[in-house]
Amino acid sequence: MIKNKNDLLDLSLAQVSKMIETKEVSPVELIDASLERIEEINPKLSAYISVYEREAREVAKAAEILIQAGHRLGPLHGIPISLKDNIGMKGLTSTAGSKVLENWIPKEDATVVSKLKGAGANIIGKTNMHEFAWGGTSDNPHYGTVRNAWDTSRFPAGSSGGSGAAVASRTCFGALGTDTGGSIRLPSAVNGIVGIRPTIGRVSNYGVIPLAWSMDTVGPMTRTVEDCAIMFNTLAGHDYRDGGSAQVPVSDYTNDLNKGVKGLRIGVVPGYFFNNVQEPVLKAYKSALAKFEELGAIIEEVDIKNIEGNITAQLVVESCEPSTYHQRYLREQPENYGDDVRLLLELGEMHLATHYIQAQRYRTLLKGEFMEAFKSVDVFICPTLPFTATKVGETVVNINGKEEDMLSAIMQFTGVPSLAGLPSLNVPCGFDHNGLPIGMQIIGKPFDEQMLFRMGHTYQENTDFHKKSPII
Amino acid sequence: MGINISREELRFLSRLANLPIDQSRYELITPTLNEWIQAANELNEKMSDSKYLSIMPVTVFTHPEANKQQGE
Repeated sequence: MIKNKNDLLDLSLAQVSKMIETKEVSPVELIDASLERIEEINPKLSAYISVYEREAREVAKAAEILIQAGHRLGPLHGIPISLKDNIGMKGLTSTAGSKVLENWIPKEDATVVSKLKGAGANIIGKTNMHEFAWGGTSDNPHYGTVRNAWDTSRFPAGSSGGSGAAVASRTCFGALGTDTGGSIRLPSAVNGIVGIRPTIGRVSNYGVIPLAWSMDTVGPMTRTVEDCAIMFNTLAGHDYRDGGSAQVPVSDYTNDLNKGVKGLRIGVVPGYFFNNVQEPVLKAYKSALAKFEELGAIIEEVDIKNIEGNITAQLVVESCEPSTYHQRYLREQPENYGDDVRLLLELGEMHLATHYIQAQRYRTLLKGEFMEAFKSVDVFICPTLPFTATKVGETVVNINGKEEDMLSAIMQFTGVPSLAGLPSLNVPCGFDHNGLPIGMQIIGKPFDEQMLFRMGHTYQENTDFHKKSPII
Repeated sequence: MGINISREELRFLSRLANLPIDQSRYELITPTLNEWIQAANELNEKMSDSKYLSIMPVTVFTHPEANKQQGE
């Protein structure tokens, strides 16, 4: 029973969408609740760079009129959604979390924004992020340090840290993030929410400020797998304006949600998926595998011979491509970058062409090994990252008594599908002794996002990690 | 063998890249650069093994629509 605005915001996107359809809740009530929540939460989390209060209220009124006239645009009609600030929206600043673009106003919507608007979503604001998406902490020197929704002294990961914190703190029912090396999945994991990195080419990148062209993707972040599939239905599909967009038919991604996992084969890579992982994360990961087994799935050990070495390839590609995009800005206004991003961009200029090309050849090798492995398994499952949220400002992380560089450690698992171009879904699978969320990553075959949603939804139907709310 | 880039070498690299880098940034840049270049060289060595000679970079130019029309 809905007693107050916070109860309303605690509902899933799917639940509240049905209530809009049946006129139990109006889009105006919903936007009021979201905006009030943002006002309360944002000073603590710095999750938003811009909030479109006036526009969102106007859209909500229009959505209400359409509903009263019996004209519902779809499951996202009247639903408050936020966008990472590197996703262009016509007439409104898109800073990408930078000072360099602080006054940039796109002349048109990114394709994903057009699709959300067309589906009736109400875009309430732009979320904070790691500057230009080049980093995993969302410690932003220009728009404030984003905080973890479960413990504000800790980081929300990144680069879509604002989107992760915004969804986890119930300010919206879904958000868009972008993911190059893990930027959707990492903040989803440490904020206890769901997020998908699609197959490269499945969702249009048109109108999104790039980080690394050959690995960039856009995807939804929500509290449940079902919600994620609902948003994905709107976002997926070919776009002639994006040269990397794939002409592969889309599905109804909610179709298989209730098919269960009986007989499905889950691959695990012995050694790599289990080593160098904090104890609580390893325990939660193993419990999740046991749960899938209990539900009828089959766990199989599969060797990916060349999985080691992926972090180097990731760093080479993810440093050379951003340094190319930023070549002019870096020479004309280096002082406008945060210290960490400026350093990474300078470093990216020092690689040789052969380093970059060998890294791109390594990606072919890695992808080939996964495609061979997919002949015997349906998905792979591993932890999303090997540790839980660290304190804000940390640059090293302690894993089982060993200090490791944050940037390399954070990409241990998410870099693998990024390099191979495979879709992967973060699903919450536990909490550590400090009450910090833990996520697992389900990796699928190219364009088989439907399988990821099926596995993730089945897991959520049989667990309750996603039902817990942070107290902020 | 470890990489240890000197001030002069960093100056040379930045000149090659036509990127003005103030020498005061040497201490900031070189520790990570040393590690990254060493790791990238190791990847170069691995990928230049003769057993991988037939592997192409993942970013190859294709004409999927044209291929489809030809029944491929």
